[in-house]
Amino acid sequence: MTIIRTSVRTFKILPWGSWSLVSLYLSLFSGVIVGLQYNLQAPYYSSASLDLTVPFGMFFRSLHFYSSQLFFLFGVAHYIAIYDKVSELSTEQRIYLVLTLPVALLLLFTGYVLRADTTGFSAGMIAESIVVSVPIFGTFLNNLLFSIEANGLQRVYLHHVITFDILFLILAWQHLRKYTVPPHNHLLLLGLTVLFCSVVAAPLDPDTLGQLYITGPWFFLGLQELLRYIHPFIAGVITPMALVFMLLLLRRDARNCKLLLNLTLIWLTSYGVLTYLALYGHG
Amino acid sequence: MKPIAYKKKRSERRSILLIGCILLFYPVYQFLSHRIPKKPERIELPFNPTSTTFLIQDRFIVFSNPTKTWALSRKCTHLGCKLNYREKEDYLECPCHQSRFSTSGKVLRGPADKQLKHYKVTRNLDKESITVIIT
Ligand code: FES
Repeated sequence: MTIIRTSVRTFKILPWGSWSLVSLYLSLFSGVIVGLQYNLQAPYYSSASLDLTVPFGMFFRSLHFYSSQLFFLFGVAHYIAIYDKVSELSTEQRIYLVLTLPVALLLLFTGYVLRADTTGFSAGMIAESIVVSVPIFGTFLNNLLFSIEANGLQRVYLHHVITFDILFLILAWQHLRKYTVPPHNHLLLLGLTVLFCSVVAAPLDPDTLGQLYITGPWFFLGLQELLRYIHPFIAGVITPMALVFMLLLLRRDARNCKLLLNLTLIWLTSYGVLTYLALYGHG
Repeated sequence: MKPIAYKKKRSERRSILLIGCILLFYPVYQFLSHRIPKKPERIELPFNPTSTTFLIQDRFIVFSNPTKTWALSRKCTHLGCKLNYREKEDYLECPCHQSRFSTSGKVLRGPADKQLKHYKVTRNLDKESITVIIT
């Protein structure tokens, strides 16, 4: 019992928020570097060339990939760690901060699509089909967000490098401007990330004809599995929105706090099961 | 200016801005809801139907038997992933949710429920190549 209590206390005092921000610095820096060699006309070719021929290309791509993942994961840990204090925020601020979650996910997601390998391509096509399935606004939203079939990766690229970043900053600005996180205070994290990325390459599917089983980005797997059984609008739009909606309402002093908390946990557990099924459930 | 009058003016300006944004939404909505139809593409390929039975390309796959030659889109009709041809089993399978299609494009197993798109194929005069028209 004491071990659990100590672990929880330690978890709560770790500087997740600062780590997330420092990882974001790394992600932005490496993103600019990678972007300078990325070619929108030949996305897979340029991603593969980065790994194979560009000096230090593999390192910078890996740095961009893993620092972005860390930014997201540390951000989630930060939210869980400060959950007790969420009720101190104004409603407007809480909404803004919760909305950074889907925007950060979209940033990660578009990154996957941009590498244009089999996983990225399939994820992009599935996303496009989901958006098109939205009643009335489907075509409009698809033309706004993806439109991969008609326009290639043009919009995905635009949103990855500009729109979603600006949106994230707008949503997080009120929160971020209160803190200064100088990178030199987190040299260990920076060093470890750089070291890790210099030995481990970011994933990229080989250009083989006919990959028989595709597992999409890790956070997309549960959704990919759900799409097997139910209509894309319910699986791909309503289900993720339900989580965001619950998170918007969830705070310590909310009237149905316990119920909301349980529903959120059920959602997350089910998503975990679906992810497991997507990974191992189909031979 | 008195603070109350100032506040009123500010909220009026905000309302005007909001109405402006709502009005602007309509042309933006119309603009983005329009889909420019794709220009048909003619793709010429070396393919001799008497000696070859199938040819896989990035977007489509060509099949032939002694009586005809046809091309199927490789876009899965469930959610758009790219289909693979499993030669031994003689069907097309989707890597995302494992929908299956026969070589004539019919659904053999879901979740997909629509058949595959067919593209027009013409045999060229040299008899050694074909033209596939992608629409
Ligand atoms: S996208 Fe092909 S089966 Fe789902």
